Amino acid sequence: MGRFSRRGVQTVLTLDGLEQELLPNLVQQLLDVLEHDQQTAAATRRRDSPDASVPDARSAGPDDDPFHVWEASFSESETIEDEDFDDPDPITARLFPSAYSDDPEAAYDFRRFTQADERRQKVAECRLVLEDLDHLSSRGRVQIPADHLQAWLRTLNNLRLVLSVLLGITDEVSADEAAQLPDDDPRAVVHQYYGWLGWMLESLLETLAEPA
Amino acid sequence: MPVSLWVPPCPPPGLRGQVVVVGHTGAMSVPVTPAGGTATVEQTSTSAEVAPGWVTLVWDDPVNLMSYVTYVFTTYFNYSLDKAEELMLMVHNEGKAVVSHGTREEMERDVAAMHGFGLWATVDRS
Repeated sequence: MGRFSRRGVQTVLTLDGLEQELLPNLVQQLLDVLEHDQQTAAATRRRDSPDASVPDARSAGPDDDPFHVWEASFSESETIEDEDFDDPDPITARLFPSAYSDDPEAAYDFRRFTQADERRQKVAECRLVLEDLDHLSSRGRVQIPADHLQAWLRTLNNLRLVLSVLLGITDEVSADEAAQLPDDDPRAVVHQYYGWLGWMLESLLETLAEPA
Repeated sequence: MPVSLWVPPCPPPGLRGQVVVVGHTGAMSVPVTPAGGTATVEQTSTSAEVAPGWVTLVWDDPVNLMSYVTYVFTTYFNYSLDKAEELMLMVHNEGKAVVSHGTREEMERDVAAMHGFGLWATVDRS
């Protein structure tokens, strides 16, 4: 079972065999979707330009791929029209929530000015995590540089947020329902990942709290 | 990949609902109900200055861990652990809490930071 631990001033991540495959896979998929949206938005802005290009949609994975459903909601022709920008898909909405609960105009302005930066930051954080995961030893260990720890924390949390949307978790009731999915429900494995990410996050928080 | 064969240890029920204090020793402990009585939504400023008119509200959500929310409050706002926990519990129990106040621009900055951490926050008039 994976965990973060402190070795003096160093933070070490240890992952078991399956986790070594799972975590980079999940982070890469999060990155792909964040970048897909980024490029789609840019393509929309250059809509009239002959240089506009929309990236190839990722090929859909097997049914137990938690991002399969999400990917299926994107199409090559998706563009972010004003109304879509104002009415984002559930995952975008959760990663980039509205900043004004009762002022749609202010919320729109806020989104217009900040979402691109917020997205870029999340993309950069995913990249840092993937960079570190590239250095996993054969025993599944890697030292996480101190200045990457925030990126790890936020990326693990972003993954949890995305999975929560895929699991339909919107309140305590739906959270309980997701926790009780029967084993043959394809979303059950997603909930396993969700729980596992929660453990990893707690582990990292513990490590961060340890005195240097 | 055959991930359906891998079953991680089941986290204790209500993992998210546990009050987890990440203490100085790094060990997690479950404190008793914090002292302080009834939680009310109040201005969190410790100074007597008049608020310039806007606040940042953090809203409860079913995903973010209590320990994580507490961590965000200590890290971003530099609140003490006690204050951060108090605010976190207010978010959890009342549904929302005022976590900062200031100008509208300052609050938008704070809200953007909260979103960066994955919390749900909004700007509101005080």
